[in-house]
Amino acid sequence: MIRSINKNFILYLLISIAFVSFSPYLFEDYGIRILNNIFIFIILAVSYNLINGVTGQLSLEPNGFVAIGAYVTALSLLSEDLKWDLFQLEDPAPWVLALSFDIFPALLLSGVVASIVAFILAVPVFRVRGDYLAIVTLGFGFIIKVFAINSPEITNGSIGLNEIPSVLDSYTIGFIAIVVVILILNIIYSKFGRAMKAVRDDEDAASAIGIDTFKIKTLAFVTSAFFEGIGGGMLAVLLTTISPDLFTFFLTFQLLIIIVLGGLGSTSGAIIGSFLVIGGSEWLRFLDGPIDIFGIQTDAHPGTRMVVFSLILIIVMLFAREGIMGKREFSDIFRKKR
Amino acid sequence: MDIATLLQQLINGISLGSMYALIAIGYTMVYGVLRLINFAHADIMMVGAFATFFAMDSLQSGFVVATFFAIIFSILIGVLTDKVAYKPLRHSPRISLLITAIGVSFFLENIVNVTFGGTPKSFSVPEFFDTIINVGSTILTPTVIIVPVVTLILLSLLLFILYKTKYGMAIRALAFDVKTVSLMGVDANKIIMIVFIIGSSLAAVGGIFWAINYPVLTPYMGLMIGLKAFAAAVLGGIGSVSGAVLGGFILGFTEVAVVAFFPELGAYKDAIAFIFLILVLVIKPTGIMGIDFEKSRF
Amino acid sequence: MKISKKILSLAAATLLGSTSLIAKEVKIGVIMPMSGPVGGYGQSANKGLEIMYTMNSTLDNGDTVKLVLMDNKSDKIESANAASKLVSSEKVTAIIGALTSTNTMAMTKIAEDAKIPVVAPVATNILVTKRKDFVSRVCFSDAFQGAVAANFAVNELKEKKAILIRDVKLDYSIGIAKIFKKEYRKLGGKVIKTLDINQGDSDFKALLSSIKSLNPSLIFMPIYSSEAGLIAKQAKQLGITAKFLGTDGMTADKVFYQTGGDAVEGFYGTNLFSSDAPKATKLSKIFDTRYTEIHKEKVHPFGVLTADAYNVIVAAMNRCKDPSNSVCVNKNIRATKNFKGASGIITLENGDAIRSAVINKIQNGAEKYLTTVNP
Repeated sequence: MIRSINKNFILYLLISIAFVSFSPYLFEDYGIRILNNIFIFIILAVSYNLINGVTGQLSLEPNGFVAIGAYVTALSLLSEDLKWDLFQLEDPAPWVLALSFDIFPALLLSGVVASIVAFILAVPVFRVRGDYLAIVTLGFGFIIKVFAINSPEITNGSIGLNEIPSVLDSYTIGFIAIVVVILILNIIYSKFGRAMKAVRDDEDAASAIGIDTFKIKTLAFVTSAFFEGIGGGMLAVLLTTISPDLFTFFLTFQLLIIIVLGGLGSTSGAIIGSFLVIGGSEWLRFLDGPIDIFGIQTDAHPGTRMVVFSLILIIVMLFAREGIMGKREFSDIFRKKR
Repeated sequence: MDIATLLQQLINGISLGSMYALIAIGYTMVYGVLRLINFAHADIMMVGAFATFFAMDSLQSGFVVATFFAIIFSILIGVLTDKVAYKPLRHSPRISLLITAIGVSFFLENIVNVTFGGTPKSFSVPEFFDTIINVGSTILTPTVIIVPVVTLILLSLLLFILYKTKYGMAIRALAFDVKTVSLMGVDANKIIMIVFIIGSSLAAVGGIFWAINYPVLTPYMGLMIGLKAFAAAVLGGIGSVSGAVLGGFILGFTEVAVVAFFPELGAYKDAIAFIFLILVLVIKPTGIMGIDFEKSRF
Repeated sequence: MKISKKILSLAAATLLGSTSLIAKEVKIGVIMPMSGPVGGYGQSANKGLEIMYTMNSTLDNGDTVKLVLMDNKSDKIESANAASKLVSSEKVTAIIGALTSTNTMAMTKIAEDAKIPVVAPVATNILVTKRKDFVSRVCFSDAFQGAVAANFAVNELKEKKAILIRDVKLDYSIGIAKIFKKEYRKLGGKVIKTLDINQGDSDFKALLSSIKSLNPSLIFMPIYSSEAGLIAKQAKQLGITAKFLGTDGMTADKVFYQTGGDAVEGFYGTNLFSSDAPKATKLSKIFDTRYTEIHKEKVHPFGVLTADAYNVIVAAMNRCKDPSNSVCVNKNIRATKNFKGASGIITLENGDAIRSAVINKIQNGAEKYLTTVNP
């Protein structure tokens, strides 16, 4: 547990709660949708940060776990009738039909399933290090997507699932985000977190002083997956429609940008990063063409947004590698000099 | 399955395999010298295809001229990418380089998207490539012969450069240890630029071949092909040129074989590359040619 | 006393003036793929919509109609996002979209929940309107198209055995394939093999080689233009001489002709509309003239149907006292009967249009009208 609860920490907590509570009054409907998106990405980013930034294992798998979470939640929330309608390719498997939960148990189930998969994957994944780790996790991310495409009786194949009931409002999403951040911070400031940082800084040395590096890495990986699964479930509810194409490498890439921009290893950085990247790419949407009545007014060029986005990314990588927060947290900045 | 169809499928496999091989080489070479998985490589291939399309469509040039234009243009893009995006990060943590590479990849895809519009473009294949040659009851088109032959020629050329020229030796040395080699007076950056030149031209050729065989171009066509070519490179042993070619052919053949023998599994064929990837990495991460990063290359 | 009278009359004048001077603006959202794999569809559809809009952009009561176009980039998630935005921040009264069945189905729930009517111009999958009160379409559903195709195959092409190629990434393709199989069997036909492809694939040689060994005489492929063109070309390269039968998605993007070249000559296809068919309404003649004048090409089915989707909505709006009342507009859309549209006479029943299909044959790089099939 956080032994020394920073005064600042309480302040940030209060600010966040206030923000979440009042956001519906500050923003109109579409803004709320974006905000919800940001909150979900905060959940995904801070958990991704745990394995990548804090434990230093360059893993590229979040899109896989997010996918698992999304599908589990979606399948749990859809009614049996709807499933019969939606599943066009093949009849849904009986256990899929039987799957039926309310939102919170569904999310929990999503997290659990994702972490089980992570646990199984941890064995082959952590046999290798460095680049190989990246490749293996990338590969697993793909395999999960391919699985989604090719198991039509479970996932309805490439078409995906529509009409997922929209049962989460922005209060719930925001509060879940706050809770997740607190939980992650707890882990980071615990002895496990310190061990993770040790593994990141020098794995051999950590091993030398008695840390079971495999156990620590697996712990980080599984925890990461758990929250990513929950985030995935929430994403499914927010979007109301999912398909395997949603969970490509681009999703992992977005998370990567967020945590790098924010500063690898910094939870507050991940939060700032989420606002910047998700909010930013929404804001940049106007670049995709001023569309008036007839579609093409002043030469709408769809795709300009992504061009600018990738340029910004490259520039950031070239000139501001450490990210905004580096390795620090909000509380670190304001800590009085000793 | 009768002999004619078998032969047909064999030819399909060679054709597909060569294209994967051409692109895989680029991945493997850049990885060898830079330890970077150059995500943007597949997009160079796409750029090559589009450049040819552009030359023929908007500049009204002939096919051969268009090819040269495309290759030179791709080389330019490749070298520029290195100079602008990768060189400044030579001494940065790997993750930065990786992310930048992905950024470049997205940038290229989207620039092409904006310039040409996102709708699929029809590539006008010169008449010559469509002529039908009958060998018994097997039907061939010239591409089926040209592609593997050109691939082999290029490969031999490449191996010659690598093993029989000074530059090639420098490349191989660089892949071994950048610092020491630089100390010995080798201009690392120049050598790396040569690697990009070679890689990009091969990718461009691969792109052109691809466009001839499958004349529908989209800005994101590089993605899938790149992934598979990358899987092929890993399968063959990332860092090894011959491995990349080997991996490319194995992948090409397997894809064709699966569809040939199990046509109901047609939709799964994209999964094959990934399955290979995982199997390789779990069983033998160094791939078939077994190159260990800490030891030697190519 | 005097002052207050003046103020009163001023106020009254302003009030009266404001209600009559400020004609309201009623918004119709349009979700189309203007870029991405099926961007060509959206562009064609938009051409028709633009023409119709210039012909008629004011309601009977003086309000102006404003179109809000959103590009869904051929992606279903973007379709859902676009719908969300149109409903909540643009506050549209109706939505036209989203062309492909997959993209349309991704956003219908959002519109349904918000009680905003959706009129789909060309989405034919049966699930688009099933169990929905606010979703309608001006085209027929695949329940009809599949049967038409099966009928044509058996009775006109006289083929009782067929190979089916379907695209498992498209709701459209899977839906038609299912219906075709069923109807074909009813008529005594048999699908000897079903082969799957993925939208975006480019290499079909292996697949086609295996088909070749089965010596097919008819291949039915309810798929989209890019893939159809490539298959046609590669089939010819492999020397496959079977007859090909497609559906409306096949010829909808001219990339089909560009890629397929002369390999597509002789292909048959069902479609929603043919400008060569006898024109049923005065509007269709006017529209045809305008369209060919401006775009120098035959009227594209997607274009004219999108125009009609617009027409149906406007007609419904005109029958409502408050044209921005989406519930009323929806009721009137669903009640459309014998509406004289640009593509023919439209009657909606439970959201589906009961209307005829056409059958074309590809000749000289274009569709040549063969016949009309009535429901």
